Order: sequence, then C-alpha cells, then structure tokens
Amino acid sequence: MMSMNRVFRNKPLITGCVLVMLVIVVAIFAPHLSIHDPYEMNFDSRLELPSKSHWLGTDNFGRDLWSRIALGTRVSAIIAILSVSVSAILGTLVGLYAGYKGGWFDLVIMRIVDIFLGFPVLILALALVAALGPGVKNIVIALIFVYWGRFTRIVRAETLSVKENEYVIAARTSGASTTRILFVHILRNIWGPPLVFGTLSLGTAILTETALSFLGFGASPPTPTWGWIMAYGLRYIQTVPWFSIVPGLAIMITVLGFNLLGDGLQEYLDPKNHTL
Amino acid sequence: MLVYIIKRILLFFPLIVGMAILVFSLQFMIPGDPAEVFLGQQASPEAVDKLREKLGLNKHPVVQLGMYMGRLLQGDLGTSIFQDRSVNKAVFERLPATIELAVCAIILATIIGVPLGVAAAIRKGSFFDVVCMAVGQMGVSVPVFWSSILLISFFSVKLGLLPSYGREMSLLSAIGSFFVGEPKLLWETIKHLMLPSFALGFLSMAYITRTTRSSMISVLKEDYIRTAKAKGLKNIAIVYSHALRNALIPVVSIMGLQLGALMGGAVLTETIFSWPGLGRLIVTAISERDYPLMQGGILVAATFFAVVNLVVDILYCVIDPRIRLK
Repeated sequence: MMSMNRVFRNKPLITGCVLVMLVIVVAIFAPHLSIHDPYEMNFDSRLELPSKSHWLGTDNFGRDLWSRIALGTRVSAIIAILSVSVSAILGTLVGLYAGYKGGWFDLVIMRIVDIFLGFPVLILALALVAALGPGVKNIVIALIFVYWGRFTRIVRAETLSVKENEYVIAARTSGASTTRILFVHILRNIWGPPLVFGTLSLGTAILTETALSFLGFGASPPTPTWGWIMAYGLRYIQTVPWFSIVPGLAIMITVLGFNLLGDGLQEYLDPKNHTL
Repeated sequence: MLVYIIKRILLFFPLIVGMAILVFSLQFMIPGDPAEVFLGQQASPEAVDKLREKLGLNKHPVVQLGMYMGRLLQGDLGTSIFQDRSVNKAVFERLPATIELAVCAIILATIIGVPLGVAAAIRKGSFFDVVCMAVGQMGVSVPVFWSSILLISFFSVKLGLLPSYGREMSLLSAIGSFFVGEPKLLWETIKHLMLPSFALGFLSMAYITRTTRSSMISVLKEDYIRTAKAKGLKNIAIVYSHALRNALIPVVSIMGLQLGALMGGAVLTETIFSWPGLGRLIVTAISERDYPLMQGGILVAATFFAVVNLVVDILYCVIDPRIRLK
C-alpha cells in the first residue's frame, strides 16, 4: 500500500508512464488509427493545414501527416527499444563480469569502453551509419555500438560497489558458481541504475535516430520516419512552417515521456526517498 | 591531485590512438569493395583500381593501419577523394567556425541557465520553480533540429528580424573591424550567430539550469549557510558570495562536458543554418562518400571532445578545494 502511494505521489513517474503508454499504443495500432493510407499521394490536397479529414494536415505529396507520423512512431519505437535493449543486455553482461573478475579482462574492456565513450553520440552514430549504409537495421547496429559501453561502465561501477559486501562473500564461500553470484546475488541488487539509464537512453536513442534520418541517413523512403518528415518540412518552412513543426512535437512528447519516466524511476528507487 | 592529473594525461594518448584505430577500422564495415562504394556504380574499373591504389586498399589491413597511423603521427589526415586537396586544410579551415558557434552557444546557455537555476533554487516549490523545471525538462527533450526550425520560423520567417542561414565573417575579425570603424559588420556577424548558437545552446541551457538548481538546493542546506544567516548577512550576500561559489563547481563540470557534446549538436545546427563548420563538412563528406575527408573530420571532432573532457576533469580538480588540497 505504501509502495502504491509512493508511485501515485511520484508525478514524473505517472506523467512519464502515461506519455510512454500513449506512444506505445500509437506505435502498435498505427495503421488502424487513421482512415488514410500513409503512402497514398494526392496532388490536389498538397500542404494542407489541419482539417476534419486530415487531422494534422498533409505533406508536399498530399499524404496524410497524422497517419505518416503515427507510422513513424512505430519505426522510431522499434529502433530505440531494440537498440537500447540489446545494448543493455550486452553492457550488463560485460560490465558484471568485468567488475566482478577484475584483472586484465576488466582493464582491456574498460579501455575499449573509453574509446567508444570518447566520441560524441551523434558523431559516432554518423560514422557507423556512413560505413554500414542507411536503413533501419544499420541504425540499430550503430546505436548498439554507441550505447553498450555506457551500460558496461554503469554496471561495472555498481558491481564494484557491492562485490565485497557480506552477502556476496557468503555466497562465494558457500560454493556458489560465478554465474549464480553474478545474476542472483549481484545483479538483483544493482539493477536500479542501469534501468534508469536504459529508460533515459530510450529518449536519447530516439533523438539520435531522428537526427540521423533528418540528415538523410535513416530508413529508406517511402518509409515514414519523423526525422525524414521534418527534413521535407524544412524545405517549406517559408510557406508552411506547420509541416515541420508537427513531427517535432511527436518527437518531443516521446522523448519527454521517457525522460520523465527515467527521472520518476530514479526518484522511486532512491533509498533516501523511502520512508518507513 | 597531481598524481591523478598525470595519470589522466597519460591515459589520454592511448585513448586518442584507440579512437584513431576505431575511425580507421570503420572502412572494414563497409559492405563490398570500399573503392567501388566511394566512386559509385557508374565508375569505370580503371578509376576504381586507381583509387584502390591511391588509398592503399589492396594492401593487408594491418599494413594499411600502420600507414594510416604513421601518417597521423606526422599530422597528415590524408587527401580528399573528390576535392583533390589535403583533409587537414579542409578540416582546419572549418574548425574555427564550429568552435566559435559552440563557444557562443555555451556562453548563451550559461548566461541564461545559471541565473535561472539560482532563482529557481531560492524559490524552491514556487510557480517560478515549476516553470523553470518544466522548461528544463522540455529543453532536454527537444531535438536540436526542431528548436532550430522553430527559431527560423519565428525570428526569420514571421518577424524577419534575423537571418536564417550563413555566416558573415569570423567573430574575432568582426570585433577587429568594429575598432577600425566598421560597426555594421560586427552587428551583421552577431545577427548571423544568434539563431544557430541559441538553437545549439538550448539543450545545454536546460542541463545548466537543472544542475545549478539542484546544486544550489543542496548547498543552501549546508551548515555554513545557516551560520551566515545567523550572523545576520543579507540574503543576496549569502546567495552570491557563500552559496553560488560552492554550487558552481558541478556546474563548471557540466559546462565543459556540454561544450564537448556540442560538437555532436553542431552537425545538425550547421546543416540547418548552412554554417560553414566542421559538422556540415562531415555530413557533406558522408553524402558524397568522401571517406578520407569524413574520417579526418570525425577524428578531429572526437579529439576536440576528448581534449575538452580532459581539461574539464583537470579543472574540476583544481577548482574544488576538497580535491585540490588532498
């Protein structure tokens, strides 16, 4: 009961949850949320402002913006969730092992992590997409390269902080296997920080993905992506600024949702906020 | 402290070497023959062979890496495929414009962010605080390219006040021209700088506001602040000479990290505002598949980021007496 009260009093957590749920619902039901086909061109209704038939107006080919943005939600959500979860799993495994075992493995891994973290996020993602080529699959791979090291660093630091605790030493002396110690005794006590970071990373992954597609290195057309719609909108900024402003709102709401959820989770998991 | 600084500097060089190896290794991730990819499908086999020879792609990868690192040690970033000039020239010609933009962005972000954070912390829980935090939360959620578009559509398209693209001249030269009696040039240069630097600095401003606020809140709870209050000092003296000086330590660190991170954001801002900087050069190089130019641009941007991070780490040690006096 206390715990539920703490959830409901946590405004960022609740607001973040609502926004993220909204995004997930739009992503799942995207094709059913509009009467218009997101790919259907209609040159008689180009660059229209919002109306009853086109809720968010139309683009330069007369395609319905709402149905395209809804479908774009799916593309961004898939890329962000896939890349961040794979990075989280990879980073957690490597970080746990490096932190627990120490020695040369830890030394080598952390120097490699330093190299990946030495690049600004967008520059590294751009460099990888430049080599791999554009497309959803390659953006996911690029984002995994960008984020795995960040998870590794967090999980390693958390592992180091608990590995000398009595319960870990007790497990080791009672003959528990390394796998059991890592997953049952250590991971269960340190999952908070990587979870918070993962939630925040979903927001930054979406920002990076939309930036890549804005620059023209995203999913190949005609697949609608938020960044691509905005890039097209920019060409008509003098006449129809609306066209580029709407997809930006979608990005902001989504990223805001993940950021609030991350902040709320951090507040919820912080032992300092626990009252008896 | 000295040991930490020396260790940090010593670790910096292997880091740069590692980053150079990573940037070089990217070309092995290119699907197919890199020379063919760079020149496109219409290229003749002779041209592809010539380029392969020129870039040393027919040698063993380890030999290629050795040659690349050897060239880097001599300060040579290679030759552009299509522009037929050295990458060094292309990159270092553009770097000052990016640094100018990033520095202006961070100055703007600090001038606005620090007072906002302080004011929000003093009135914690008030309506003003809630608004500041909402703006801070939005600031970290807004894509740089979107804030750029909003600024252009309002200040350039609607009000017609500020130019939406291009760079007049370097700010330093413009300041120089001001003193030789050409104030108009300086004003034009500042006008061109305003929108891109504000768009780029918006995210940093949000981070700086948030950090200043939370740092001020924790400092204001300290015993020495209570002592200052008990002594009967005025609130303004407590806030500015006792609290802010201590609260600024983490803010300086965030400012530095943001300055480095702006190199990433600059890629977008420069593309939108047609700012002739390094970020735009990298995007153009990628679009044109000019691989050596892209590698050089990325390596220089990343090195700048790493240098800024190193300086911030050292500065943090120096300005925090708890670390300095250890």
